[in-house]
Amino acid sequence: MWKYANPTFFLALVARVLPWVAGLTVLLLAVGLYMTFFVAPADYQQGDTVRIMYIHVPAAWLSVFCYMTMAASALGTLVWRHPLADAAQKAAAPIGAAFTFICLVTGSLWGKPMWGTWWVWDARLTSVLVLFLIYLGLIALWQTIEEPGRAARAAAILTLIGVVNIPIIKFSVDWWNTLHQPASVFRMGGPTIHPTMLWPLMVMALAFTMLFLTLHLMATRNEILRRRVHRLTMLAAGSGESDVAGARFADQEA
Amino acid sequence: MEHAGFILASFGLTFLVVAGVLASIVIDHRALKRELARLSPVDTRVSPDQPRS
Amino acid sequence: MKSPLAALFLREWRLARRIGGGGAMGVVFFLIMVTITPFAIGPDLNLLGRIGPAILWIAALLATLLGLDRLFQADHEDGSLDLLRMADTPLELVVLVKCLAHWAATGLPLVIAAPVFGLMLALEPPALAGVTASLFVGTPALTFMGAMGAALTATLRRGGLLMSILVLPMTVPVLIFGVSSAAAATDVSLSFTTPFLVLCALTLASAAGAPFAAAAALRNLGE
Repeated sequence: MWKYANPTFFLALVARVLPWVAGLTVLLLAVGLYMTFFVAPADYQQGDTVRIMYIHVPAAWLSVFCYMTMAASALGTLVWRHPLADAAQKAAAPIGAAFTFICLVTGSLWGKPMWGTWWVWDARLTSVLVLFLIYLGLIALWQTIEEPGRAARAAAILTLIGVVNIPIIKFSVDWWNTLHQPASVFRMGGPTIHPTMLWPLMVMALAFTMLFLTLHLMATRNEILRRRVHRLTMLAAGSGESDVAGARFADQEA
Repeated sequence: MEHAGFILASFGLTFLVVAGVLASIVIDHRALKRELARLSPVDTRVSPDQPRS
Repeated sequence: MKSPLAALFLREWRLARRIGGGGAMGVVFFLIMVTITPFAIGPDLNLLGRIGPAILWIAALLATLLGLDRLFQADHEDGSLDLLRMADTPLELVVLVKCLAHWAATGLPLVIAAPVFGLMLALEPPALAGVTASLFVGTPALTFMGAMGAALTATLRRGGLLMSILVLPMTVPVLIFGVSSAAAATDVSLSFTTPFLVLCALTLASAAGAPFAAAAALRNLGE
């Protein structure tokens, strides 16, 4: 297992696997979008607006899935101190924030025609908003600490604090919401969703998961390369050969 | 299709965000590759037979 | 003064009470927040009385967080953090004692000042009691959560702002149950004990968990 966690091996693996994963993502997205618009029926109550669900729900699923990926990587960082875990963790944060953002905005765009307002302080929306804020905090932490290893461990600690805290936040927001009894809010049908809608949703969820995998693999590769660049820069500066590097740079500029 | 604007807006915005993330990753990748190519000769120049500059 | 932890508590307490320690400034900040809110929402006493508990809670939240950014930063700058890290006493206990001392010096004055400021917001006596009780039980949780953020950002120059960004989302449960129990003190239709007990649970849980997270973050600084 450790062989696969070696950064060099990982780069080779990504080079081999990425085209397939990306291809599968495109295929699934194409099928999913086709099903969304041509196979799935319009809802008898909501009409065609229900089609927003096929991106809103997968995005919501990914916002949680991405956090779980980050938490698993955080364990790898803290327990095994593995550089690959650092890279995976750092790469996941902006992608997770992007999908959470998509979830919020599509929810808002779905809510306007259905509920009549852009935003309601509904328990689910509010929890996702807090999750988005936590993502932003993590990204800010990553960007503030310069030394990569130290930044990774700090972010890992914060991620794991979030793992403990997010269920508590979810619970308290639910409690707060029932206390304040919002205006009648449309509720999704839960498990009674019809198969003709369930299938497109499943395909889209799978497509989004593959999309996340593609983006995450690419971003993790970037983080590994960034560390190499960082190390080489330090090496060049440390061994007094920065003049050579500088000359090279000047050469390039000329 | 009723509310077509909202549906179009959500799909379009999702596409834009994903495309933006993808583009930023690709641009970042290219920049890092360039940087590595610039730095690597300095690193491997320990072998004496390699010509300078 | 035999126990090292007692000595640490006294040291922290004295530092916080001293000029520049920030203990008294928290209360002043609290007062300013309470003063400034009516300018934003108008001097209507009925409205103020209704949202008074919320104002007091938000003011206490911000006052606690603003005072916390120096909790470990000052120790890091003058090197005493390294001594604490190398001492025989576990770093987790050190963090716990530092938090308690910090709360006694800055959080407790807020709790004591809350009934006075509540009068300015036209709170009824039951509401005053509810707010004060919920602040008394809830502000330690804020200190503990803030300590985690303070430990993560101790070496950073822009630490204070980043700390607030990291910690504020995490304090949502404390705010919800704190304001709820304060509001329940006046409204008989709501249960006071449920949110109050949850608030107690949050404080105890953060007291149990935060020292470990903060100590892990502090060890990370030294590597």
